[in-house]
Amino acid sequence: MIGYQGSYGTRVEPPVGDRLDRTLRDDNPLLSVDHQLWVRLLTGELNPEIKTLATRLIITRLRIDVANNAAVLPRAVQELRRFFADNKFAHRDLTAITGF
Amino acid sequence: MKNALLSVEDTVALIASRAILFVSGPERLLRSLPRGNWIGGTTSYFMTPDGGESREDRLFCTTFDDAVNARMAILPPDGLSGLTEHRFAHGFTCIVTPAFSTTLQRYAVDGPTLPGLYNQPVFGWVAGVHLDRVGQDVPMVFDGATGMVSVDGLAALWVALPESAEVDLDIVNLFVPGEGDHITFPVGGFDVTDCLIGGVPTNLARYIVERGIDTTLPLVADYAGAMINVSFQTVDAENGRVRFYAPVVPGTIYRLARTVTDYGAAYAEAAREGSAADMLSCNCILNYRYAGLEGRPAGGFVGPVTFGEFAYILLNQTLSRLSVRHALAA
Repeated sequence: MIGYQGSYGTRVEPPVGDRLDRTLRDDNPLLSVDHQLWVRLLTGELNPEIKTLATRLIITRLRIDVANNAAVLPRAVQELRRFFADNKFAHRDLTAITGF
Repeated sequence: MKNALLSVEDTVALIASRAILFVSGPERLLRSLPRGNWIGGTTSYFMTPDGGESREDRLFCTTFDDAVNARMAILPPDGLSGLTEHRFAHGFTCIVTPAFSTTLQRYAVDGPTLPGLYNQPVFGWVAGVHLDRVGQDVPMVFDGATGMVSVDGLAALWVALPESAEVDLDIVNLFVPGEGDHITFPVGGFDVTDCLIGGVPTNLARYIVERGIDTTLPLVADYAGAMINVSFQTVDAENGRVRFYAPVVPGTIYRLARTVTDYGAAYAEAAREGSAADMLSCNCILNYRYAGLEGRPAGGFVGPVTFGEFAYILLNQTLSRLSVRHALAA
């Protein structure tokens, strides 16, 4: 389930020991698809303070997909990661998610 | 980007200048416009700097003078994937589709999953008619390039911007979830019967009537920080059915909205961070009615008053706003 949880802005500690993909523009590192932060984000365990409307909407759509069918989680992670790779405007949200 | 409430003659002159335009207004006026670089949709209501007003003799025109290229078309209900396929590498898309149309229903349900939808701003609104003529007049949309008029298509204007330009699309929603129980729906859609309220199976229509719930307030869900409304259209307790202006989504937690005490102040606060008059916005006819916006300004936001709004997805009882800014030269 997604929706009003009454808690935003969970601070995320930078990951330790996880692989980073440095193919993202501006040298902004993009977490690998197997990083647990994606899972925590898309299952609603992690609720960083997202600023951009597009990011808010795509995260929510993917959370709904995952809530209704957990088997789509890997595809949802790939789609969200692709969104950040393609869209520089969303990088400030990526910083909120990764904590760096 | 420039906004103006214009006469037909002034609009014709703008079109003749090859301006790229998003136009809203009464059907009779839109039909009188020549071909050119514009799309449009019907409405009889506008937000102006002086407040909301109903006009049958004016067209609200937004000129995209930042644009370096544009194209337009009317997409059929089964051709909505064209919305993202035809856009430029850098820019945004404006859309308008008629209220009550198949296309609107299709976009409301399928739009959120269009590939790449969130990669570039999609701003728009739902064409309507004068509230006194609902059921008599038909909302419609126009493609100025071809002269095509449609009662069941989605008019799209794809705008290309220079690399120096940045687009910002966001919403102003005065509603936040109230303190009531969570409401969830096992089956989504515009029409619902059963839901879970606080986890208890409940017929929503009867629940609303029995408790005397104010249905001028929408259901609100928190989309990762964006408050997204679903507004009530009808509540039929006898048959146990509720119809909404947007589909409810299974897996989403809704709550009834908290009452807004001062709409004017809330819009003024929302406009605090920038010049609302320099943005293209649209505001919902439900806000116009329930908040008494006729003759009252809404924080300086100007644009058509509409039967639904788009900021990527279909919205209800929300102000959607688009702005373009240019990076400062080094």
